[in-house]
Amino acid sequence: MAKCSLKRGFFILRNCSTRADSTCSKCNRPVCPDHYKLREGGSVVCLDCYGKQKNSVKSRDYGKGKQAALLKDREDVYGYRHVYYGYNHYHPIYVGDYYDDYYDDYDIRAFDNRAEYAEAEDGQSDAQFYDS
Amino acid sequence: MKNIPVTMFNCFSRYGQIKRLVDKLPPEQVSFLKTKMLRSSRTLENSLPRLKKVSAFDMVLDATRKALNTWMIIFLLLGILMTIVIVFVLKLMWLSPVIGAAVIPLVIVWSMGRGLKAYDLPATFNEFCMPLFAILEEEMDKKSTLYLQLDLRGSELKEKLVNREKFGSGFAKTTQFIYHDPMFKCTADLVDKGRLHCEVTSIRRVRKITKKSASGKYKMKTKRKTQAVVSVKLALPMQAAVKEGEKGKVKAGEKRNVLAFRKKIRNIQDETELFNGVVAVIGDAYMCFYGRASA
Repeated sequence: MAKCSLKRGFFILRNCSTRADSTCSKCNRPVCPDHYKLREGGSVVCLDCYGKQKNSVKSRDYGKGKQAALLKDREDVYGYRHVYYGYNHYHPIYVGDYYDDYYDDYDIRAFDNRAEYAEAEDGQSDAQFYDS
Repeated sequence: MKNIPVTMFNCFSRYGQIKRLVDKLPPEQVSFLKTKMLRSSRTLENSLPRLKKVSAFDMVLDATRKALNTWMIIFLLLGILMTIVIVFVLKLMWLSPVIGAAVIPLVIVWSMGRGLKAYDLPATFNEFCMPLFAILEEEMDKKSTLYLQLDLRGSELKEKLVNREKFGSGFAKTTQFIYHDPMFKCTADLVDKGRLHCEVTSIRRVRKITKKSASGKYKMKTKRKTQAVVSVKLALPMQAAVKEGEKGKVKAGEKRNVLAFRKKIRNIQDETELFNGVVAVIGDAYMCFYGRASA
């Protein structure tokens, strides 16, 4: 079973290592229960696509200081980060070993040019950022 | 509390529910609602649900107070109208007690609103703190600790006054008050073995200006201006360098480098501007990190 393709985090993006059990009806990426929303009609949409769609109208309010209105709960963080990256020209750092071209717009900074570590067999990311 | 919108017609039953709910809340949450101050050091999975519960309670309370205020305005207008009709139009003074039909509900609704005001948190909590916690939730592990210190009592208190000055002479005199309000402090253990410490101090300048006009009348005006100083200390296992022109220091460590960053946010009109500014400062601190920390 594929792993969830959404990237967790806000300032630093990292892989979601949870197993996916659905596919987003918009971007066709595998998503886990933490990262999708059920829409009317039973279709599944990932929080990235949901956030982009929800905030496409409201993002014009961003410059007027109405950002907090975009953030009501945890689900909204994904849509808010999409607006924040664009408006503040913020380039998130990506810590992981699987790059997804869905995030091409974000101009992600790689933590390291080479993926020097691989995910452990149990699916948990061996996130050693530095040598001990 | 059920997620039913508060309207003009169910605000009275909502008032009763709120009063009963306050009795059932844990003492720590009741104390936060009453004193507007919070100091906590809990894991994220323990602290965030409690804060969300307080936030939901506060939103219902705000909606209920708004509905009660609308009823107050209705009863006030009704009382004025009845007074005009009975006393000035019909001139039936013996009917004056009927005006009590508007005045008594007005007093009751006013006292209900006052009772709720004691538990009302300022907009800063729902429009600044809660969105910031939503972002921190993404950067933290559920088991990691969130140290929190909130002071939402407001800026213009005696103990927060740091400077008082009088200047001007002749026709215009000004008394200036400067308040320092350390409203928000938090330290979060991040999921990538980093640590974020963020302090927000609100600096408010209040000027009371008294002017004498050419006609001899005295006029008074109060002007307010708010700035915020945001101090961020970010420790990450990465290289760090402060950009030219920015105020910051980098302290190298064995496993992590610590960046201390400080910025002022000027002319804050409301909480959403404050939130925008603080997130931008934290983002600027992250932008100073790159690569991998040296072994």
